[in-house]
Amino acid sequence: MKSQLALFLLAVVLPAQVSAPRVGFARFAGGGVHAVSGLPANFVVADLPIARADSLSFSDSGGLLSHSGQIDLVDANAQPVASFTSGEVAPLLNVDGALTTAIAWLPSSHSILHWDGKAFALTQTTLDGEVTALQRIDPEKARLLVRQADASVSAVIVSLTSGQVVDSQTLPGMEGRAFAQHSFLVASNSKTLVIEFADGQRRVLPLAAPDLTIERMSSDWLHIFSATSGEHWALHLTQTDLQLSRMPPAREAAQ
Amino acid sequence: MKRLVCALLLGVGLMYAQTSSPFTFYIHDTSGATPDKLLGSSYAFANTPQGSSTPLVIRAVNSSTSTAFWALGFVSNAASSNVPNANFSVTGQVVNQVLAPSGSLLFTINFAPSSAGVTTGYLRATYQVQQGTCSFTNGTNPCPSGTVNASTLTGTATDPQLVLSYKTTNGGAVALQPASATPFDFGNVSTSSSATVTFILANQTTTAIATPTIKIQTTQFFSSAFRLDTSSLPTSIVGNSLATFSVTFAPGQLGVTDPSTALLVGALTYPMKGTGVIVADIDALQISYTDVTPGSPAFGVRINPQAATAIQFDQLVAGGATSSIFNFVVANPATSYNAVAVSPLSVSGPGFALSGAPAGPTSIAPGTNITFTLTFAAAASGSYTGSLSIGTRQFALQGQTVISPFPALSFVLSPQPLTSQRQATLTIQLASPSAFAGTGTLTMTFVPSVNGVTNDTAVAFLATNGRQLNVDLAVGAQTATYKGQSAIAFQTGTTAGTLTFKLDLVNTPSYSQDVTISPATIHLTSATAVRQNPNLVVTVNGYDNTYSAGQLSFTFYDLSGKLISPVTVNAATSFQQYFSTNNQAGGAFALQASFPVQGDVTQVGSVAIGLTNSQGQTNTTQTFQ
Repeated sequence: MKSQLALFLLAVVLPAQVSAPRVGFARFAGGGVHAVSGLPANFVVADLPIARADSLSFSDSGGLLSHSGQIDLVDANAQPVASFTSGEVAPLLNVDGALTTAIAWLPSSHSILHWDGKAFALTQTTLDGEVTALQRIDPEKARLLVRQADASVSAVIVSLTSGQVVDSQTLPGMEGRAFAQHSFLVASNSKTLVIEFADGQRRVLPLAAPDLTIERMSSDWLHIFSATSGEHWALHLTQTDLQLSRMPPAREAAQ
Repeated sequence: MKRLVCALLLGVGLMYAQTSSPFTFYIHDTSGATPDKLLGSSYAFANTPQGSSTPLVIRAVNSSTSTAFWALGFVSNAASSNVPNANFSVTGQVVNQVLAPSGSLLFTINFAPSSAGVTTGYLRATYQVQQGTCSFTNGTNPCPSGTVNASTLTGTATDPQLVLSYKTTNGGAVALQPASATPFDFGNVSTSSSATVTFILANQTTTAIATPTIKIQTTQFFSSAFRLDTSSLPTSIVGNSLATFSVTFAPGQLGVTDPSTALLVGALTYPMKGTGVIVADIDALQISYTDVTPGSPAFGVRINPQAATAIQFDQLVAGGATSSIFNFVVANPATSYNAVAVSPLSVSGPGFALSGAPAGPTSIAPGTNITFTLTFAAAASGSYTGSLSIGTRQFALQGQTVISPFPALSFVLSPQPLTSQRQATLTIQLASPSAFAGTGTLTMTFVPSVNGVTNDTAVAFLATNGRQLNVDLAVGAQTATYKGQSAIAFQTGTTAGTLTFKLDLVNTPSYSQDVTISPATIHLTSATAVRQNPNLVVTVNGYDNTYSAGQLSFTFYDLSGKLISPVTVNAATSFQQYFSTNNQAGGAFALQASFPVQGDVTQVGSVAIGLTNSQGQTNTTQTFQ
């Protein structure tokens, strides 16, 4: 009991830190990257873009931005850390934790780019199929979600040192473009958004759009949007929470 | 006209070398229903009564590979003659026009017989063709020229039916030819005076003929200097009898009237003109006004009023909050000899008001002007008339107020009641299917009820992130739509206050509805409790729509659920600094409290969190991870 009293002795002298709830960074029509803050069903999209990008991925620690063939690694405040000239028009990016989780799939060269903490490293692979998402699952390996010709989805583990496929498994029942978020899989088709939990449970959300794109805004928030309809959604997906809300567009994109 | 053509052709024939015609002639359908048809070497007009006319629209195309100069098209008495045929007229022609290869022009040949029997005319055109460095206009190096016989035109004049004539000052009647290239001239009339001409419609058949529709043709946004009075016309004119109507030329502006002005009698067109002139000093005043009524289709359009035509104010909604506003300028030209006294400067008639005029007796010196504003507004629906006097210059005023053409409107909000941090929908509902199509502007405004807070940027329509949308109403629809959607989604923000939705539809009073977002206790959307040895870190996300959060309590329990110790923190200063310093997130906040630990943090199992604002306390319990 004596130690417990000492436990909280200093608590009252520490001020509580209050700030705007941060959602992350999202890309809108025209390529403007805007900071997003707020809560589920209550989003504030900053008026001014921080950058232009063709694709992006952000975690709470930083992000990757691709623009005109260059991939930039930025910190949590979107300040540049490193750059890599890939020449890739449509690289697939992912950062879901520390900056060392930064990884990119370069489809035209079938190679994987990752940040080792000091520099970018490029690994050539012989992978087939359409890669729809990837994660760095440990310092030596990446997991890629690959859409096969029959629309089924495979999870492929690739060595980042050799580029060899270490393991490949078909994910039963998953179809379309799959995206990995924490231990969840998110798959979209033109009518629904399917979320598969680690234990195999699934939730289906009615999200009808012919061309859904998913980009990570932060560790816990995904930005889902349709270029044709101009609609945006934000999915908060953690071990304890699943909330889908509509998100307003950036005002510059909505003009 | 005859003299002009002769002079032109003589000149062309004597001075310029002859060349083959670059033009091909087509019969043109102005409705676009049928394609152009090649004009043959002969063309027969439909039988046409004397005093009437039959038009034929021609497209002349430069089908050569050289630039061509269209001098004049005309209908002559003979194939080699330059003398115009009186039974034909050419209207709508732009003379002396340069046409590139494939370029074309339109004109109308009117068969308007003045005498009975068969008439033959010859469509001819004079032209030049660009060759080398020759010039269309320079006489020292003229381009080759020629006259082409395009087609031989025939027409048969049948017995006259309705013949239009005008009454001369000595009581006689002079017949008028429709589609004449020479407008009927009212002559010179002072801008503070008028001239009235009586027109006679004579039914020269033995049976009754329905009286044709009679109108005055003017250009859009032009005020006509002519006023028509058909009050004495019957609905039909019995055989061998007359009916009369009058046209008054009352100019409000100096100079010749708009060249497109014409008297329309059924399908027949009788061009008219008149000239406004100065007789007294006040006639020199140049009077104009600009429509500055918000939302008016004519907003910003400057109009020179004519005394013959009432100044028409914008149609308003009866009892609506808006007025129709016209800003007037009355200028005395610098070329005037004298200052002009303007007395009275006044307006009469219910609903009309004058403001901003110079005080007292007004005199306008040469080269200066005065300005004033006329407004129209009325509570009851109906037509209103009045008069504006600028000295002896008089202008009639007209205004109209109407009742909305749309069924009664209402807003349906879902869900109800509205609270903060919601994505809700608004549906614009009509009491019955709309008989008319229309567009409207839906506006959302938000007034926070928190002292010192003026906005919450999260309050917005989700489709645009703005607060204004243009909505559509379709015929037969019972809801308005935005991009096809009836349910219009919006965010309510995280600040207590009043949301006001307002819909503005044309000719309809604005409809608005207020919705109150009530102050509430702090709402938590997520919370975490994490052991980060040697600290315990508690993070809470949520909103306080009163911006009054202050007292926080943290009660810690051990793994068995036994109370360890409560801690209270006064965070009012932190919250106030956050809410009042460049706040873009409304009442939304993320709170992080860190508790240094002296001991084994793994023995702490959970924390009960309490947050208090002006509406009460909110509690949650979190297990440490």
